[in-house]
Amino acid sequence: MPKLTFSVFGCSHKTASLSQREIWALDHTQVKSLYERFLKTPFFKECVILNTCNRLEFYTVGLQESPENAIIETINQLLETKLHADHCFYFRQKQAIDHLFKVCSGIDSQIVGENEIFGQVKDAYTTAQKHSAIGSWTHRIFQKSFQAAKWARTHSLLSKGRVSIGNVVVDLCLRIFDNLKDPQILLLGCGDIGQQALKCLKSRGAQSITIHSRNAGRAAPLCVAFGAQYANLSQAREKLSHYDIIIGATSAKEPIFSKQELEQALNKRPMHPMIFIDLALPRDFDPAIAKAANTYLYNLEDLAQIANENLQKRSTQIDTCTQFLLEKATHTWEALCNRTSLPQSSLEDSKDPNQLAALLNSPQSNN
Amino acid sequence: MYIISSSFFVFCITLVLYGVAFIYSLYKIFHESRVQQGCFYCILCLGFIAQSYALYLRGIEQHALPIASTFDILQIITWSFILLILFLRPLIHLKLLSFFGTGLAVIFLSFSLGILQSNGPSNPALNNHNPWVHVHAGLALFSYGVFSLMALTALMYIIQDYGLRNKRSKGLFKLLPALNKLESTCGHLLYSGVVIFSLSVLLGSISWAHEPHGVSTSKLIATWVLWMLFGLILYLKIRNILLNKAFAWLCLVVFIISLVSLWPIYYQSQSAAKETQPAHSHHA
Repeated sequence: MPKLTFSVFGCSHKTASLSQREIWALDHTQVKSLYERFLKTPFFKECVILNTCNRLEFYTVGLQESPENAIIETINQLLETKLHADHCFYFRQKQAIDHLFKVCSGIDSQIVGENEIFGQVKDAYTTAQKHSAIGSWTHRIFQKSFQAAKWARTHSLLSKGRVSIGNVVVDLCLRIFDNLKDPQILLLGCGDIGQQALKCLKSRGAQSITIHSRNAGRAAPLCVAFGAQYANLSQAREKLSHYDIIIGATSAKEPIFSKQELEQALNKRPMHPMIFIDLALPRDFDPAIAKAANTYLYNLEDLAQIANENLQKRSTQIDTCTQFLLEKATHTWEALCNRTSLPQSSLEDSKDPNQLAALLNSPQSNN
Repeated sequence: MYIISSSFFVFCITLVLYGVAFIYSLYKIFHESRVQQGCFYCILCLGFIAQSYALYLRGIEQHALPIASTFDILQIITWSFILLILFLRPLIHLKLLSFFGTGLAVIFLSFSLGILQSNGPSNPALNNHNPWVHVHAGLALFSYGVFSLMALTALMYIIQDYGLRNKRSKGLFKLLPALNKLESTCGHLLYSGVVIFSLSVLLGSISWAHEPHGVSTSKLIATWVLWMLFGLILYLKIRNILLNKAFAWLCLVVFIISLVSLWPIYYQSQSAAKETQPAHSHHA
């Protein structure tokens, strides 16, 4: 029975482990390809793909009551490894809106209250707009989600405390090195999360910074901003044993350094500790290096766990925000139902897909 | 029947003061709130003053340096490392060292007051009128104070390393100093301890050369073995052969061995001295 459905299907840190998520991490080309495939199918009229290191979510508006099978099929056609339904979640209608509101406000984030997700949702929305995948429903729902997220951040202490990856990285480094002036820092990749970590390290006195990126042009402004040196991959490999703090934030599909390379580097400096901060997904460092003596490895999940240690103190704030967001989601859903100029029951009970499609694309609904 | 001496009472007050300082900082750490440094050090200083006064009274009671029994030895070691904590604080600037120090002080004082007691038998070997023997004993005990701090920093290193490996960052783990700071401080304390201990061994050896019957063979061997053990750790550290966690573990283990070895050595030298005393008195 076809009916108008706003749904979200995907996987996140809550349903899939880091190793599973890194298999499904999509690059820009794959995201573009997915948009094209989605919009070609008769089931989806609107679509937003939220692809971050902690979640891969598909927000769709379509005529199918249960679009999850169609989504899985489309993704599995694109990816070599199949997305398994056991590691995914699915919400529809009001619950889907509520989920988006929570994601956007940072309540559903691995580091509860973090700000980055807001920008990531906005980016996902802009990308969907470029692919002409935004319609009246997604437009309204996403705009409402931005408003709700802003309210949650402004009117609560949700983001209070150490809720940024950068601060957690600094705290960790200061548990190994007395100060950040002396340690040699290597940043791999020029992504936002790496920059954020570097910014925090720099603000706490880091001086010897080297940046490696496949794209030297992208690294150049960063080098200027942070007073850092640039190293290509062979230079970074050659001087690997010189670095005390290595931050991986690339989008590479495979680890940047092999286990042997890292072991050789560690053997050259047995007297000095080395910390690897893996902010990438798929991961940049082989997890086996954590077993090496005098070596410490932290990945995204570890950092999130540390950041959430002060979560208990903010539990009241989270409860208040969750309640508010649920009310907002209910209101938005009811408003959406009313905007179609049809009773909600007719939307859900309609048996004519063409009629619903016409409704979705009607000028009135696009207002 | 033991008679409660005035020094014993003051030692009890010392234990209470160190205990209050330790529990206060433990409570603050557990609740992740800021330790009021002024309040903590005020209690610690009061404890140190009380202990110094108790040792003075003990010296008056014994008409000598109070280093003749295991009770006194533990008191002097505790007094030494608390003194170092108070005076070296601006130099070392190691977070939580004083917290761990008060913890160790509470253990040592509880053990000495609860089990050994102040009226226990004293070591007749130290009823010696040669002042160099007393300097030797005093230096040896002071080096134990330095080694106590070394062991505490080693313990802090091991805890911090454990926290980092197991991704723990709450409470104590968050407050512990950085690994490289702990390792370098541990190395410096080991170096200082070995220097003081070597000086003590040197003075002891000179005294022993003049008076070979005054010291038991077991004590002599144990002292030399300990000196060589600490010296070996220092050598391996300087040559960058022994580092990081292995260094910390070895420092801690050797300190525990040196502490535990005090009792058998003490009792053996006590019985040996008792055996020699009647012979001497008979000759006299």
